Amino acid sequence: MTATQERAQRPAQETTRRPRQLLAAVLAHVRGWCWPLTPATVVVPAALIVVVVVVMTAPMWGWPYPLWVQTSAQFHQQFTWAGLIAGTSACWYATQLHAPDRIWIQPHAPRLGAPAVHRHLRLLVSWFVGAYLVALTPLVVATMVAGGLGSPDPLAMLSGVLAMVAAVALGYALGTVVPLLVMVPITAAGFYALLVVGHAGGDSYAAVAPALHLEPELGQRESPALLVFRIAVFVAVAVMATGLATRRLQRLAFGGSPVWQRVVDVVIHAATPAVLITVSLVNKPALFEVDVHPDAACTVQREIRYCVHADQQLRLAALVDTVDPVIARYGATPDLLTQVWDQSLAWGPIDRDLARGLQLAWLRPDGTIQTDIAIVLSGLYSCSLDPAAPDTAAGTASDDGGDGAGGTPAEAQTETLAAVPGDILTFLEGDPPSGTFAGMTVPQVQQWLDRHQRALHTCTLTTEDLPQP
Amino acid sequence: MAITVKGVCFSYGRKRVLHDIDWTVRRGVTGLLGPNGSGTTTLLSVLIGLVRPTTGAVVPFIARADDTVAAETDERPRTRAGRHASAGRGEARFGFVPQRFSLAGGMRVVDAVAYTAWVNGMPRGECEPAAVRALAAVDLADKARVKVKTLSGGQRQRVGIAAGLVHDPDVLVLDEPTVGLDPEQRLRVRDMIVEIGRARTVVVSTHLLDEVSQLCGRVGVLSEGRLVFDGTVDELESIDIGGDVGGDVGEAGRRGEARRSPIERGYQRLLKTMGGAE
Repeated sequence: MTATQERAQRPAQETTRRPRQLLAAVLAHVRGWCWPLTPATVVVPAALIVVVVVVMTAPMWGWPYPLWVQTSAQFHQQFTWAGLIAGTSACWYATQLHAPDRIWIQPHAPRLGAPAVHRHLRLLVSWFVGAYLVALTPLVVATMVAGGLGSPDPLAMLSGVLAMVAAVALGYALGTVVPLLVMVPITAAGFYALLVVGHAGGDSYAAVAPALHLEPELGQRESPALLVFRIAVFVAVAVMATGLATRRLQRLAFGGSPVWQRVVDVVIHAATPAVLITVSLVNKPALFEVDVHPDAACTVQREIRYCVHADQQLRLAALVDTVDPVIARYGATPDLLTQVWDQSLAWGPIDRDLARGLQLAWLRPDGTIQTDIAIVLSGLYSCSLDPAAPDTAAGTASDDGGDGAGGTPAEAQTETLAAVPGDILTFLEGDPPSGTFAGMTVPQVQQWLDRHQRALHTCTLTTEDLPQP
Repeated sequence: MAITVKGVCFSYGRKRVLHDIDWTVRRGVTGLLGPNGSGTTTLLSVLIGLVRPTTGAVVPFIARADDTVAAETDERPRTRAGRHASAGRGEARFGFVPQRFSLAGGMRVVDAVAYTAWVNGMPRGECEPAAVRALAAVDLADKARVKVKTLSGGQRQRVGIAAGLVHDPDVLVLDEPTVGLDPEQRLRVRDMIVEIGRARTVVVSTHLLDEVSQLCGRVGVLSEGRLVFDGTVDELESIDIGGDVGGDVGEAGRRGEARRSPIERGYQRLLKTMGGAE
């Protein structure tokens, strides 16, 4: 090979070598961070945390009207799976390192205790909580970019991060106190049970459950008292779990300890969190604080007043556009509908007079608007609230005191009455008249609705009121 | 570094396991022999400070070449409860390789040894080089980067010895280090222990008498919690109580006695005089 050929080949070799060297350097760094166990022990769970949080929050990235309170709440709501993964992985990590017969459990080793626990927890918390925050970053950015409504709730965010730290510390402590592999699925099941109880218990466990059973909406904010309490609980759990793991490792360095001593250690370290949890169960703080008299933006259309929260004034027109076609289809001005409000205006107590003729609409952050106005106008709600009313639209076949056998004229009439609200709902949604109103024109149906709207709302419609074929 | 056990007694509840043991372990390899239940494991635990003696103390000291005490590193007053006994171990660093130990299978060999160095107080940056040196000392330098789970039983045992050595202990205590190894691995581990014993104090607890004669310069024998012999291997081999050790066992017994190695004969004679049995 000539010198010229060698010179020509050298840059090509260098370009292939450089990425490899770079990769090797990066891997060496990662290995150094993850030492003493292999990188997979922390990288894989961290990646899983990113995946589950991203999958759960990705639908929110594209929301046109994101709320900061909801984005802030995701810092603890996403704990559901992320906390389980982090706690279980930390438990597994501890079982790998702290089995009493491990060769590095040396007599009087000075770092078997706080230094080892701090080193491991620093590593686990950095990776797992770091992954959690990384996975939540797109949501925060999306909320910022879309001009999220309201303002961030730093305490709610902090409570979620601390819940993750507590989960890591707790899992690690469990794996240290009982360093058996069987402890790993037990820990996973424990975290899952904790979440199920937290969700099923509603407000009762809100002060201690890492993920709440409800998310705040516009006009609501997690109560500071609740948040401070939750933060105290998570900090207590993290500190006590760290203390317990430290104590256990110190005892291992001095030859281990009998089971009773381990039990005593657990009881001592569980005392503070247990007291806090007991206090929360006895004296439950309110879940949310609400804006009692929020600023509103309003407009009137067809004698109906539409109002939205001032923060989402831009959506007022969309609310009108959603409800007005139903009113237009209804024909007449409904007697019992005078106002349509954005739900976020109505979290606080509403004056009785003001509430008359008021219907609510849910302006969702994903851009959708949900209202029950068509259902309300159809009478479906009124009758379902009074299902025992005989011979009325919601009266059931068994109510007519009859023989219970199907096919009698009385039963047929009752079934027809029961079908009326559904037929009205179909009509209000824009479909041609059908069922009870089959063969009628739109103006005829509207006239019938106008004549019978009170009967529909009081659920007193009788068979005589039905349109005659 | 040498280490002295002074008047150590130890009881589990009301059962006394060690009776007033006085024993000095000097640089080199020292064997600790004794029938099952004689208290060897308990004495090792006292030596490395895992259990506190009921009375007495463990005192490390720097020995001169002629075995006289140059300076005790620390000796606190002995209390009736032996309260300062473990503190009396002074600043001596111990490496301990238990009979049965485990390693995390997914760990690299070098990391397992380096982590042992770290928990023993070595700065993080020095752990890996020290681990590599310790692995080289046990002839496992080429296995440093492989996972622990790929090692054979003998290699694992050597990793254990490397872990016991890595933090440069003054005293290395090995509890039956060759149990479960095949003959070739056993020879390698023995050679290694001899090599280590050239530079530091090594205590080997074993039931294999041949191992003691091959490895150890000195030997201590425990019987029913008492140190019944403390001397060189030659001294143990030359114990003669007169007559047949086996008692009235006839010709077969005499032939068996003749087939035994000198240390086996010496050990059996010693136990015979104590009334113990192996």
